[in-house]
Amino acid sequence: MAGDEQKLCESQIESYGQLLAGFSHDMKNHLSIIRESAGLIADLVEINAAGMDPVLVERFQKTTDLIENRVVVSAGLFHHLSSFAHRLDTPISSFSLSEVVAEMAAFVERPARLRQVKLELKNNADAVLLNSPTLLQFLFYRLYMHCLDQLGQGDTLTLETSGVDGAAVLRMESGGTLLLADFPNEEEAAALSLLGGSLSEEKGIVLKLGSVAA
Amino acid sequence: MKILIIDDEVEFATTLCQRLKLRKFDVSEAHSGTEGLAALSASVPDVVLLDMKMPDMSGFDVLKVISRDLPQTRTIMLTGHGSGEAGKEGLALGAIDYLMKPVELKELLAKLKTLEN
Repeated sequence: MAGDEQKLCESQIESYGQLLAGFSHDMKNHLSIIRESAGLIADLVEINAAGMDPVLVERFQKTTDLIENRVVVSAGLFHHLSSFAHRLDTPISSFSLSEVVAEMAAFVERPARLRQVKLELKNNADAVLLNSPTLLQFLFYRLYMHCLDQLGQGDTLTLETSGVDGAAVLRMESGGTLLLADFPNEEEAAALSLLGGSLSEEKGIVLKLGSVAA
Repeated sequence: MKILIIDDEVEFATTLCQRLKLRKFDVSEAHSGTEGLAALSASVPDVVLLDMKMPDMSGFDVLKVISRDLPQTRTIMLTGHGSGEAGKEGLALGAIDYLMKPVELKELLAKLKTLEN
């Protein structure tokens, strides 16, 4: 890609990051109002419970609990979205491998759920990278979907991050069944090269990247 | 304990205000930085719950005034920012704590109780 095109592409990604960050900020404000409003209903029901039909009180409580639980789940997703968006703001930054993987896992849990594959996260001795978070997100997503394509109902996909001998390591594992096969393609290989990483098969698929500090 | 909520999200501020009043706190609300500063000069609260991002002025600017003019008032910042970075910036400017939006009331009550003691 020519230099000007590359710059334009980076500017576009930064703009998307800023747009997404603003959007997730707004969504958190909406969730705040929903949470407080449901909380206020719960408070008022609790205060007035003595004069109310017990069945009605129970229904109110169940409903406000349901709202609260969904707000917590949604807030968690928007928290990850917000962090994801802020990573797009800067082409190169210092970041924790496990944090990026945890963020991405929040977004990619759905395709696993649709395939009835269980997703597990493990973090051993985190590693900090000075690299392009956007490229890592891209490569992670492609690698993750490549792994999911090899799995089916009842399987578990474990994403394990660690810092070993100056390298940040991400292992995608599912009982030794995962293979690189036709991975990476041309685009994925370019991303891997720009990240300065390597891929191997070691009881699963292992992505290694040079880390800044363990 | 006297609390002032400064947040431009009117529905959020009003609902949180009602919930704290139900728990016997003396609470008032302001819906902009300017309104907040006026409320602070009219009556000094023990605690300010301060939103970081408001259209007329940032929570940090309000916090700087509180830290300079009202050292006895303690400020808890409210942030919708994804990372804790904005909260940490608030701590550096004199806030005693920060909470991520959407705020969990139990967590806020625990912080207020600690301050009361």
